Amino acid sequence: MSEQVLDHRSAKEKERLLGMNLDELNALLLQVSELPEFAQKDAYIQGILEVMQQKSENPYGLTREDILAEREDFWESYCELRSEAEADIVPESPPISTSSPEKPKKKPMIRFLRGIAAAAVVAALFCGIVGAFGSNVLHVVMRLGKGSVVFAPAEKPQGEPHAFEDLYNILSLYSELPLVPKENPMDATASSVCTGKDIYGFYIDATYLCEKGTVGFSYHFYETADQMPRAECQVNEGELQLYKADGTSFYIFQNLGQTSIVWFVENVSCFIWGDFSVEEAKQMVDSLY
Amino acid sequence: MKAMCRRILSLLMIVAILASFAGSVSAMEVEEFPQQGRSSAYFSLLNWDLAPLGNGKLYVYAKAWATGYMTKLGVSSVVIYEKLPNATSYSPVYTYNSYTCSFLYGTNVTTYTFNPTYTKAVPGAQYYSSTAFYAENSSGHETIYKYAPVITAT
Repeated sequence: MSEQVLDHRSAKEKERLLGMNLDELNALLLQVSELPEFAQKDAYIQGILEVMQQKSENPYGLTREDILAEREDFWESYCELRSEAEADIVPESPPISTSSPEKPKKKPMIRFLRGIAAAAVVAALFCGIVGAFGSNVLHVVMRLGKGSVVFAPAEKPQGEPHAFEDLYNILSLYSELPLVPKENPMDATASSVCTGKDIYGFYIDATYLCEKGTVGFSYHFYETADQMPRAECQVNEGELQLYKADGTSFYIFQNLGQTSIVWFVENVSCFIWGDFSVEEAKQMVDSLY
Repeated sequence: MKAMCRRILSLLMIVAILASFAGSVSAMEVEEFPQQGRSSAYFSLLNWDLAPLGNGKLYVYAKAWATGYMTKLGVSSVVIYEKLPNATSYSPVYTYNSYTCSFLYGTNVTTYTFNPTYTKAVPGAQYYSSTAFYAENSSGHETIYKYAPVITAT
């Protein structure tokens, strides 16, 4: 089952999930369930739940049946919320479990007790997250849509580290294209990542801070390439240069003291701008591939 | 001598063909690049649009990327102009501003998207919009006006 639901992710991602503890997995689960749609989102959630089950050390004295029921309850409430919120999106309807057939309806008393147990687990996990990690672990604030805020665990995933890791972790859920530079010559650190939807598709914006100021990233995933809104870049007169890397055209230009990079790949428009030099821009472009 | 002339002519034709091909490639590349505006201490990139959604609805879209964190970033106003099927000129029919809308700006942000839906469009009528992008920080503020071209409501 784990292999089945995680096969869309790399082995590295599976390793990352297995390297997390239950609290971190729970935080990730909350985060992923609130993200906009991406390919096999349901399968990914199922994968996290599977790993949570595997890793469960049963610290709260729950039986296996309780854990399975908790998992099913989460999945049911997630599906209900999702169908209410996104009536126009048809879920891929992944199986809850490949091994367990449909169960008869549970008795109300058992459901009630189970509900209490589930609430206790959620409360304990929440207290554990806040108490054990505090602000050191929960360092990335993601503003999803208007107003909702979730936290992502700061512990670095196992495997090769990425220069703009927080952004990379989000983008890799949506695309395997090389969109995030592997080099960070400005030593910028993540300040915020936000995602949103519009009629053209969806977007991911991230802001990083460095000694010189700000570095921003913006990726717009268009449903169709011919449906882009009008755009205008603010450019110093005559300071636009075309830079080629791996057969892709990158436009590097300056706006007063800042530098920007614009490029298009498949149905994604990409924009990096901020307080970095043209040389640093080229270094980031080269590190994409 | 004739053979030499032919060779020179062939060479010239090849050069001409290659030059026209290179020209068309560079033209495509220029077309791909977004429109270039004047430099700005407040804005890096602007997106704007007015799109018909059907059933008398129009999608108003304005997104601004700032040069850094702004205390205020968004739009100060978006005016929708309408020309009914039998009319001869456009007139403003709705304005999104601080009196009619509470989500024109973001505070302490580097990007902001303003994308309300105008629901009182008349199918068959023509519309365009004027968007005033606004950014403000401790150094000052700037407003840039952009116009979305005419569309027909459905």
